[in-house]
Amino acid sequence: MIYQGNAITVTLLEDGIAEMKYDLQGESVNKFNQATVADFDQATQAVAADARVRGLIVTSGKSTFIVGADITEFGDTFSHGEAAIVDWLGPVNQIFNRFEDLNMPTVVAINGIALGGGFELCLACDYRIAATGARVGLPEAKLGLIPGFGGTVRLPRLIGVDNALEWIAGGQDSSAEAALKIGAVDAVVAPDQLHAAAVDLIRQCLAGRLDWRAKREEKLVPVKLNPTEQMMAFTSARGMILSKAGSNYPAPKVALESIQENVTQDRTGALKAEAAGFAKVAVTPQADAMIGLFLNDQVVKKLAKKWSKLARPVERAAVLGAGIMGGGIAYQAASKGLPIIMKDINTKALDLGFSEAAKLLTKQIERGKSTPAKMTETLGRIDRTLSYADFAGVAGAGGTSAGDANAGDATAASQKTGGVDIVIEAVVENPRVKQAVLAEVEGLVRDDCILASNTSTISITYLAQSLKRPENFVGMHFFNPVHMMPLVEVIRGKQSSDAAIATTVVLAQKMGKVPIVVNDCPGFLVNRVLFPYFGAFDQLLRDGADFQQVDRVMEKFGWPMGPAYLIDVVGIDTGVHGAKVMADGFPDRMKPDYQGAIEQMYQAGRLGQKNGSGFYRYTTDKHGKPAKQVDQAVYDLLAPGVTGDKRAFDDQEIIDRMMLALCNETVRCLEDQIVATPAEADMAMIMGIGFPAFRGGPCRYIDHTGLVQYIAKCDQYAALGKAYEAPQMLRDMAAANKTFYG
Amino acid sequence: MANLNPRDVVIVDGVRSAMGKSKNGMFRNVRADSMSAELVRAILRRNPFDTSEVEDVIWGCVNQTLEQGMNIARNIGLLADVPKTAGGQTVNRLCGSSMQAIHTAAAQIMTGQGDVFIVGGVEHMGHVGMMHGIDLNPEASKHYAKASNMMGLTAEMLGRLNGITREEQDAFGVESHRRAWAATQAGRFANEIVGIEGHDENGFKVLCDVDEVIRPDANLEAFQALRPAFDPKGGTITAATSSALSDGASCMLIMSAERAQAFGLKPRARILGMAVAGCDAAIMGYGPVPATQKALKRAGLAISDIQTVELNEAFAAQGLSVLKGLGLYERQDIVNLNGGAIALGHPLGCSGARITTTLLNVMEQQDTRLGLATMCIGLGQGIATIIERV
Repeated sequence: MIYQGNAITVTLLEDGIAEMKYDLQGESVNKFNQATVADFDQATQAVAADARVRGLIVTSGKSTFIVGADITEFGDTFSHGEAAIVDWLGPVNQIFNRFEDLNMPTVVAINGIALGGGFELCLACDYRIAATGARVGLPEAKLGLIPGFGGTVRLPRLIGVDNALEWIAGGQDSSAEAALKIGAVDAVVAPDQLHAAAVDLIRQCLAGRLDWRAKREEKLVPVKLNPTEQMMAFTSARGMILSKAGSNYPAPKVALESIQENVTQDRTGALKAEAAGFAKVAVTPQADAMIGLFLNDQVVKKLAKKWSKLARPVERAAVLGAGIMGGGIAYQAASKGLPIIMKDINTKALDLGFSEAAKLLTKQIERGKSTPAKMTETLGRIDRTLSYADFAGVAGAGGTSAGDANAGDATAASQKTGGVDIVIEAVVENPRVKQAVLAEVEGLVRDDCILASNTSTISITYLAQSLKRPENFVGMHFFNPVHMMPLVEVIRGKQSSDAAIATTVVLAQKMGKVPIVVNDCPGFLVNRVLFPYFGAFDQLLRDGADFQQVDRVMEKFGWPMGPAYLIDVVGIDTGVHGAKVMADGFPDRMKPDYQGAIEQMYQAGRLGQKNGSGFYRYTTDKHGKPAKQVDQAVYDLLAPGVTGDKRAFDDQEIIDRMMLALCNETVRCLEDQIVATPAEADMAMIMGIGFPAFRGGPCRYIDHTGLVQYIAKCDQYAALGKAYEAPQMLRDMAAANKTFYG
Repeated sequence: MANLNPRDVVIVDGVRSAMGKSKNGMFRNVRADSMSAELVRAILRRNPFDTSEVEDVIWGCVNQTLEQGMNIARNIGLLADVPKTAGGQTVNRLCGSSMQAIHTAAAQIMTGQGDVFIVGGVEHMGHVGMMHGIDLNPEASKHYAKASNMMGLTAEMLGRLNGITREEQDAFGVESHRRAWAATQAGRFANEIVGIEGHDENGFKVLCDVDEVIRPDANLEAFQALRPAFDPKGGTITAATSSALSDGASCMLIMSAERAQAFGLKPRARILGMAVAGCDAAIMGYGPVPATQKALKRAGLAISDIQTVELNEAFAAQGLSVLKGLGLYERQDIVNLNGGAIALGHPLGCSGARITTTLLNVMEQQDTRLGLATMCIGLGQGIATIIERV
């Protein structure tokens, strides 16, 4: 034993070859937390001091290699400002440098995920060998950061400026094979050969067959790319990176600038440039929001994991209704390997739902993401039917045949096995139809079968009234298009059991979605928050704002679509229908005393993208995608509803009015315990309605604005209506000097 | 032929196909090798001699795969009934390929390795895309910028370094079309174009002897309205100020002066100087400047001696930068008098022998003695040929 630490041990193997093994005690994965960095320092010094050691391999004792830095430590480290961050990075990089400078060949055996700081350790080694299945990369940009442990210095020297820029600015990780092709790793071997391959490589170095010193030297000096080619590389990359990242995400741009500065310098100067860049992005609100987002994501995943312990197994599901939502749900389940029955009352609808799924799969084949065999397999999991035959189980144990003579008999049903474990009802958004269908299917399925209604607006508690076993009933709100939208709201009705919630949560996860559990109320969480936002939009137009300006401002703010464009895509009729439900539910702030622009559009038969005209006109471009165009007629149409002076609004006023309405309703959902935590609320808004990710969600946005300042804005606009008034919860928090994320 | 030495390299003749559009153009049903063979047959008809003395068929072609694969030069020789005793080799110097074919033949003659060569080049960019089958080495990122593989971006950079404005480029582009169309109408291409059977837009079989790529209606307003093609944000180069993708072939007959005389063929010019030169890949378009300077030196000439120039117009920004670099910017009245690649297109492998053939004809039309043909080459090269009419 050369060194024994809490995260790292170093042992002497044979022939003067030592193994530095990462195996962080008490954790399931290795990460570069402060303690590990200190261990790394000690271990490196021990290796350097041991005269027996002539070569070093670096390994992991976990199934992953090193997943990255410890993100939970970032908040504290970053809170002391840029200079303090640079001061923190300096010594850490000294440790990495001392490791890199060890007077012996070093080879890392990458057995699994090696990301961020973990991959930066790999870069500090002379050679990198990966096991098949390993993934490597520098994902810092996805957290609003750039690499800080030498990644921006070593990677461009190793694989070239352009390749490094793509890796670092994009933040995507790579397979071992892709990394080999580009030169980021030196060999890829079967996992059981990894250790032997690393030792063998050291032996070759020691035998003088491989020039490890030359390989190392390359990382210590400026890049070879001449100034003209550098200009070309950085100019072209800048254009590409800026247009891809947009002005709201500073990290990719800072990464580029930092690399541009560092490639002409030796390692010492280059690392200084990196540290300055890192510090610059670390203190941005974007980094705070995106790190927070990462942590929130962990929170949501942990919650789902907790639920999974209460869940009943789901082997077979059914969906009622083969419309856009039903078809999408069937496709999504099948594509994730879950057999699903798709039932409708007519063949045409079934064929349509099925052909939609086929279309999505065909597109995947065209893009090289699937194969005809996989497509056949996936489609084979969708069982189209006009009858309820297969929904029921069979009386007594075992057996699979359906159509039991007593299928409708509740007594018989109670002893059934087989059949479906969960039924997702996705028929037309009409309370009476839904109640009837749910009651019908409840009579056919096993007693413990869960019923989930896919509805965007109808109260789950209300729908439960038609059921005999309301405890088995929940809401399961998918978003359109199902295969694209990651969020599923799982809605707890008054009588929903934990088992029903848990089973639905697990199903959503099985379908590759992120479930967030919310309580029942009109609009649930996402639509309840979205409609006040549309209300604020209507109100701005009434007061004389130009919807194109509103869209422009909100898109610049970071929304993928401005509100006018968004409602066009959602469907104006859907919007109007939802608004009515919300107005009934929350008349004090969601029932306008005027006819809003969205309603005017509806009256004029402009339903949005679906019929080619809404706030914009839509034509089909040469790629077959809808192209948005300005339609002068809309202004004439809206003119009667405008009571304010037509004026150009200050951009900030537009942002404030839109965001206050949205954020306030989010807080009210927390107040009313519709959603349990700010983390879940923020995640739901980002995934459900495209809230700008770099702003972290409504709660994070309020935190960043500052509660006092935020409330002052609410007071400023309070006269516009209750939607803009600061909720009591916020005032209490401000009085107690609290924030959502502390 | 009093002024010729027996071992001088002479150009007996040069021909080319009309330039077809690559997208649904008139040669969409004509193969690269067939088109080339047509030209070989035509040049041999025009210049009858004992073809058993042909040493080699040397053909320039860039993307040597699909119908352009398997040594297309040999296929062309066989298709055109060149005696089997002659050889066939395909050369690739990217855009400079068929000019290299001329140089290779000339060097062979100069060193006594043969007297009679059929050279030329072809690229059917509609049938064989520029990037078809290409797998660039990621490791190159350590030696030159990835964007240096994107010719449009290299031209943007070269133009920026030389202060070439969008206005200049648009004017240059329009002028290229104007000159090419004027030359077409005045019959100034008649001696160089060999009609090849192709198909019109309705599928009718037709003899194609007019460059399909030229836009007779090219005008400044239309050019100014176009968006940058390669750098959408800060760029100045549009599709209209870039050479068009096109399908075409070219062919020349190169001999030693003594063999030409023995055959009773009258040479049209002799080669005075040749050169290739490299430069930064990021500004590949600048290659003609060092290449021309070397060729001039070898010919014992100065740029001021040159009376007629054919400069391959890869991009207007690139062409204008080269003219500045060569001190020809003020002498555009001797450059590309019948238009250039912006109007005619740039079938990569075809262009070297195409511009040399056009140079011959322009010099005859202008009655000048000394001419220069030069072109830029991807990843940073230039190639130049200086000829003298005899």
